[in-house]
Amino acid sequence: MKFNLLILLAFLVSAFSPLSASAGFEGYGLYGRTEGFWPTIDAINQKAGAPGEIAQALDDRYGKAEEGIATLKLGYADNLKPGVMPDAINDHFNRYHLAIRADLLAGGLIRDRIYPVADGYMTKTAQTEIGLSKESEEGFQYKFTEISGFGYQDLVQGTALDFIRGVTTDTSMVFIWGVDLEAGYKAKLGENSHDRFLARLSPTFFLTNHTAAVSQNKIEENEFTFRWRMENEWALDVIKSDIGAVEAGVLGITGQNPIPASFLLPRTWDAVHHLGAWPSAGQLLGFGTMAGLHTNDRKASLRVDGGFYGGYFGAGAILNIVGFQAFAGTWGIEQTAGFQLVESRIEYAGMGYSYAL
Amino acid sequence: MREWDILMHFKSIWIQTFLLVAALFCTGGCAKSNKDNDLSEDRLVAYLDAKKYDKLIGILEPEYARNPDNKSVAVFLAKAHLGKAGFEVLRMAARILGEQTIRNKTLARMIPNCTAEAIDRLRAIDGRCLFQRLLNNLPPSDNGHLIRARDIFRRSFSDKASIDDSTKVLIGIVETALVVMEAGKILLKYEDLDPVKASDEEMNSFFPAIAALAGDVQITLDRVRDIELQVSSVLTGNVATLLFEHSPQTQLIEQTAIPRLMALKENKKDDLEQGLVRTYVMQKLDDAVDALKR
Repeated sequence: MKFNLLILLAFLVSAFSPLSASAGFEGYGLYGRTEGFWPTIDAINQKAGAPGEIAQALDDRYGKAEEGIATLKLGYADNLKPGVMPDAINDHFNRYHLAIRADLLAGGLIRDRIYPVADGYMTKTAQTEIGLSKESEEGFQYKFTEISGFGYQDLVQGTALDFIRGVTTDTSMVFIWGVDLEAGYKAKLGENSHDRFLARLSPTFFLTNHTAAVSQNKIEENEFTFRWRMENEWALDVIKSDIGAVEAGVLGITGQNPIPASFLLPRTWDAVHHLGAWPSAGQLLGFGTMAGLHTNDRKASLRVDGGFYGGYFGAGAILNIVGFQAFAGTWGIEQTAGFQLVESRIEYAGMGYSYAL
Repeated sequence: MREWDILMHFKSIWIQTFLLVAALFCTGGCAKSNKDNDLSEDRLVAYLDAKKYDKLIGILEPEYARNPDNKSVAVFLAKAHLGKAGFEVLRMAARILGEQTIRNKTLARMIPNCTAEAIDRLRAIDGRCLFQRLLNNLPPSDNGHLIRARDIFRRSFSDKASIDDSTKVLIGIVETALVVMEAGKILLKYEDLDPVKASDEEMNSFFPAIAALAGDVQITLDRVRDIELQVSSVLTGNVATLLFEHSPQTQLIEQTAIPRLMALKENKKDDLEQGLVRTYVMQKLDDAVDALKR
């Protein structure tokens, strides 16, 4: 707690300090969803008591997860000013960052045609992020971020019996506290190739008030999730000119939901799906290729990723032009602890903007 | 720092190589070949969702033969057989509540004046018409998959206390459906039979059928005890009509008539009342409806 207060204090001091050239705001919003988003949730909510309509609406939805994600994030980052923080911190970090974000995550899944069980959920959360980092163009770097937030979860759950009698929606509050610990390394391996390694641990503690709901997507009263990830990229400049470069490379990721778009899934996804630290091995691996082009001053760039990640093929792209960002993609997310069992194929698009002061 | 650079470089290459090999390995053979041996609940329910009932039966029958006490295997195997029998409870409830087409003219003649239109789940249905709708829409009682599912449930879930609520209701539904359909089958087959006037040959097939049905009725009543409302609601799609009602009359039937019928193994015509089976059954249905109304 003492450390958190120090970080908060540092932010307040910095906020009133003259901004350095490296200070900047950035923000993005994204919306992602599976193709058949809402029919299951809609049927559970609206058609309860009409088994015929429910049976008809859900006939082709069994085992097909439906999910939707919306995120809005605004952040600010700057160099740490000498003398503001204790030397012990200045010796190890050179930047600080803070952000606020809001996430909406909703989904539904119906399983077992013989005696159906359906679950629908919606979590709405807001959180603050604050942290320190050591960043550089090359070499060892690391980042620490503390996250805290709160929100609500709405749950509907029903078996065949409830579809006939009627289902009720259950709402409870959610509190979130977690950290992101990142460590990585960037290196040039020669004139035209470079290598990047990143490891991230994201333990999160969720606290909810009591609810009698029995949904499998319920965030428990005390739930701890542990997301981990290692990614390693090797890229080669295949064309270099005075204007920019074209690069191509390979990317390998290990960890739960190993997709290149690590920003896609909010932390609540982990709790809603009771993400285990060690699901099946096939689900923990991802491998693919990347291609990109960028101007030498990095004011414009395009990066495209594609490959086999966590058991499903997917692709995504990020376009960056003078601070404006647009990104889109499609990735398959496994809903169970198994391999290629229940896919949630999320297609997403978003826009962002970063502004250097 | 130079040593660190070299170390990190080699670490990175090692990790990349590992990822490449592992990803290729799992994309190819390893994951697929493990699928058939995977008895995880997620895998098994995925087969149910995809209607791969034959595949499930193929995987689980040998497993069940080896270990009939494995409740997870037992319940998924039973569900696979129910799937093969067309026993999806939501669709069945929808059919029973929905618009009816006359499939059996004898049945329509025997139980007249029932609406063929779709009915409201909240409006009580006349007991005889409900019986007609059930007979019209449930799988036949001699369906091998349905019988296999019931046998698995009886063998592996004999202790009611250790069964989860959903499985308990499903077992009750299966037992009830089989009893209703078997009763309907006997009724249609022997509707013109007068036990007193019938030949010994006729009675020698009638008595065992009635005795077996009475035994199944007793098992069913035991299975649905305390979950009558749930079983009735799911099976019929109707929350306003009870298939089971505790009344002095039903208790009397359970305590005296069922054991008596179960003992019908010999040709004892004196044990039965005179008159057609059809008349007798319809009279009993009317009595039950009257009792419920009271």
